[in-house]
Amino acid sequence: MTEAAAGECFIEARELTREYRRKVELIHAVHEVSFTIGRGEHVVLFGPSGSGKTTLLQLLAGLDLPTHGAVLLRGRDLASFSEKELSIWRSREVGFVFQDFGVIRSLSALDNVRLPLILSPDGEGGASARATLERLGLADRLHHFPQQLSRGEQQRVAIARALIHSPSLLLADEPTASLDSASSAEVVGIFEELRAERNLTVIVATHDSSWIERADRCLYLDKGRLTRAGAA
Amino acid sequence: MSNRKSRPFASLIAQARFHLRWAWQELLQHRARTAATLFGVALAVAIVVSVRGFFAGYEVALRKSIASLGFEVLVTAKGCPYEAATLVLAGGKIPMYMDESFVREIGSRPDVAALTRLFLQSHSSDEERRTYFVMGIEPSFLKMKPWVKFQRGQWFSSEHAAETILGYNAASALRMDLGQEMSLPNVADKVRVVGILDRTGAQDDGAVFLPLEFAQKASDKKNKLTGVGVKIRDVEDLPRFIEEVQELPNIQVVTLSQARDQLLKLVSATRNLTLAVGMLGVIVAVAMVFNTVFMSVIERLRELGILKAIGASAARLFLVVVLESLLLCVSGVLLGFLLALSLSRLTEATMRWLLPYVPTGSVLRLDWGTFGQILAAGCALGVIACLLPALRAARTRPALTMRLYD
Repeated sequence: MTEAAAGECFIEARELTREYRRKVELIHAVHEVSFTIGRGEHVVLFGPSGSGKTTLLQLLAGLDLPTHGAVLLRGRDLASFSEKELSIWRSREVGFVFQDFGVIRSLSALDNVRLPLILSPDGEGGASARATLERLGLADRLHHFPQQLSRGEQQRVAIARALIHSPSLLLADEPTASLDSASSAEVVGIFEELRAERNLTVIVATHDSSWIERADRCLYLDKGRLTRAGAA
Repeated sequence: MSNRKSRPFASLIAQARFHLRWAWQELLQHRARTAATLFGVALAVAIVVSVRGFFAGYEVALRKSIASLGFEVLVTAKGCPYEAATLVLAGGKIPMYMDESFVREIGSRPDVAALTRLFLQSHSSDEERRTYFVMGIEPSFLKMKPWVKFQRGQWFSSEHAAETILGYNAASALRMDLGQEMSLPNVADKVRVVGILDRTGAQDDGAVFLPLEFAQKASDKKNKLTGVGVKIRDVEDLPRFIEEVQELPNIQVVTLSQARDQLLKLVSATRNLTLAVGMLGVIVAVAMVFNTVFMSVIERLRELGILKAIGASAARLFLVVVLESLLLCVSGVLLGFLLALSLSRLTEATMRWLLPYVPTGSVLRLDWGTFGQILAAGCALGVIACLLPALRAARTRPALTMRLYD
């Protein structure tokens, strides 16, 4: 599915810039990046470490604010959302998968997956946490704590957590960077299956080239700039 | 987007259970730190509960003891009012005696309904490590206390007889029964037990009663009294009675309300000191709770950032931290209350050692009201202790914390 084929513009980055000041040095983590992503598209943000992929992902999720430019969600600037509106949007429509899984160490696998439902102001909805974990092959690990799970299993718990509330947007930051090749292939396969099943908009920030061939489109980043964009 | 659907009650209960379990699991991540804080809170609560419970019970027991005396006024020889107050309730080695000649004068007053002559002594036995509260009494003593009944036995055969009547606890402690003979310190003759009183719940339970004249003679104080208990016909006559009797040479009048106030004044210094120790403990406990919760927040900044990323609001993160603090404080209060209950005998023994007079029986009162008040105070302090850490958690900026720890 290409940008044009995606039809409805779901999320748009418009001349997005994020600068940091480290002592006296000004760092351009993201510099004047513009693109649009349609509903149901699978886009890979590809680039080496330090190219600004994570910062861009955080800007798209409203976790950080741009220095200049805007992120438009169905035409509305995320900067105009109140803190509460952002929380509600993330709890209802965004699933997040982190590089180091981001599972909560004091909660079991089942409770980690239930967390977005608990945190949501709706308090319920979405799929069953147990069913989601079973679907991802963790039926016998429901009550295990993160430290009792392998890295691949922890990442599957994180994926289950990202999907439990049936989000429309799935953001993944280096989801396979901490995994061995077998677990990586497994996670890539899970993403592909889920996207096909749920018509999810998926944005993956990675430097793992195995993601590129599975994506609709790839945005190449280098030193915070969008150097190339096109079909994978 | 901000429209909030109404959530069914069951869902709220499920959420509350989830958060409680989560808070508990989080506290268990650092068992030693949590255990130390729990112990600190429990210790502070135990001290405050024990002191508060003891002195609340003390006042009630004191009122009951005074009411059980059966008279409103004690006329004694002039001396220290504190000594007189103690004399009223527990006897003592007080070298002040009044002459019996005043009894007729006081008894002839129209405002006096009844009176009873008293000869109170406390005799210590070093061998037995026991103090005997000995009362020389006459028949009018029991007439003034119609609620006091004999469990077995009867009144003395005469006012000179070497006989004794024992209070319920005294008989039990001395393991004496009717017909047995016993020795008393500083009393040459052995005395035979002729009566044992039923339990009264007052100071009479621990007393050894002797016929008045026998007690006077045994102490070589013939015609001397330590006091006269007086029942006034009309309470409105009391001020005039006090004023006129005080004018008699070397006589002082102690009303029972004065006795009570004097004793309460006497114990207030001990109460304030022990409460100050308890409050110091509470301040240390609050600091420990603050430290535990603050450390927990600082160690979990990345997790808190992740929670925000997956939809937790600032208010929710605030509540997560408050709940941890509350769980810590409520558990500490429960443990502290159990500690206070299990150490109640030790508390009573310590207070009896510290204070000049403690009514007989169990004084410490640990009731549901006290528990509720301490629990409410514990929760309030728990919230205060975690305010700063909770605000820190609520203000977590996910992008910054995630970048910081990546």
